[in-house]
Amino acid sequence: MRRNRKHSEQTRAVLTELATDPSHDRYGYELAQATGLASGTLYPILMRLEERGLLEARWELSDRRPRHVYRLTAAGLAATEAVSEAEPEPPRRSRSAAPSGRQATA
Amino acid sequence: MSRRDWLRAMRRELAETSGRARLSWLLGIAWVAAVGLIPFAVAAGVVVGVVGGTFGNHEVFLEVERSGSDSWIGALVLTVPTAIVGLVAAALVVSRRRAGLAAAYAFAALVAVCAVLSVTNSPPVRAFMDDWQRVTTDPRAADHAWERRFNSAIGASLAAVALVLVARRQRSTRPPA
Repeated sequence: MRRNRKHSEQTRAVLTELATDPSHDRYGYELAQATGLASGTLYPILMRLEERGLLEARWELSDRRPRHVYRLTAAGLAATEAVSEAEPEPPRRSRSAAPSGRQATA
Repeated sequence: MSRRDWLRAMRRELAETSGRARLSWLLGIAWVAAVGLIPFAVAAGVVVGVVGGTFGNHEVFLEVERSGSDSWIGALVLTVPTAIVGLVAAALVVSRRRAGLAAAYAFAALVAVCAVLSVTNSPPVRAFMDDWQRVTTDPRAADHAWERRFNSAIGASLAAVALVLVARRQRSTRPPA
């Protein structure tokens, strides 16, 4: 049976940021700026959220230079709401106080 | 989405960065790439260990077999299933199959049995290594027998633990069925 793990502070920060405007696609660098997470921490979290079906990731082809965009799925939005109810919102970090590239547990 | 796609996505964002942020972003790409290689490195370690440790010691089995003793059969029955399960587990973990974790646990259990029998010099390892020391021309057979038993037990145990850890990590990131 699958264990229901608590999300890490970094994962909650990503979920919370994505949930601020769930209908809006977000870029990776934009998320890194908003959450203060280094790319080596942010992307493993995005990968896990996508693998768990909480995040939709797709290529935005309208631009000259295709980029990945992210938004929460319905399951991701529900998970974020559940997290917000169960756990206090994580403090926002400035870019200078960004955690290292260490992997975080989703 | 494959890890290669994710790395490509990270590289696309590089244009947004500059200076220290660019360096940090590049380090992040390197980190994600390195983490993605861990299952392959561990599986390769298991394969190299199994092939080198089990099949690479064939001359020991041949020396004992040529002497007319059949103690090699017991050693073979002990090691070959473990080696086969190890190779299968490594393949399943690299291909991220659901059965990878179960196979890794099976490999670890078989390795634990082999390691205990090997380190304590219990049957069928004892008879096999005693026969080998009797028939081999190696002048340091006693030392080498001990080294073979101890080194193979430690190496296989470390490889099995690493494989289980990788498989467990894969399991924890996989979405529910």
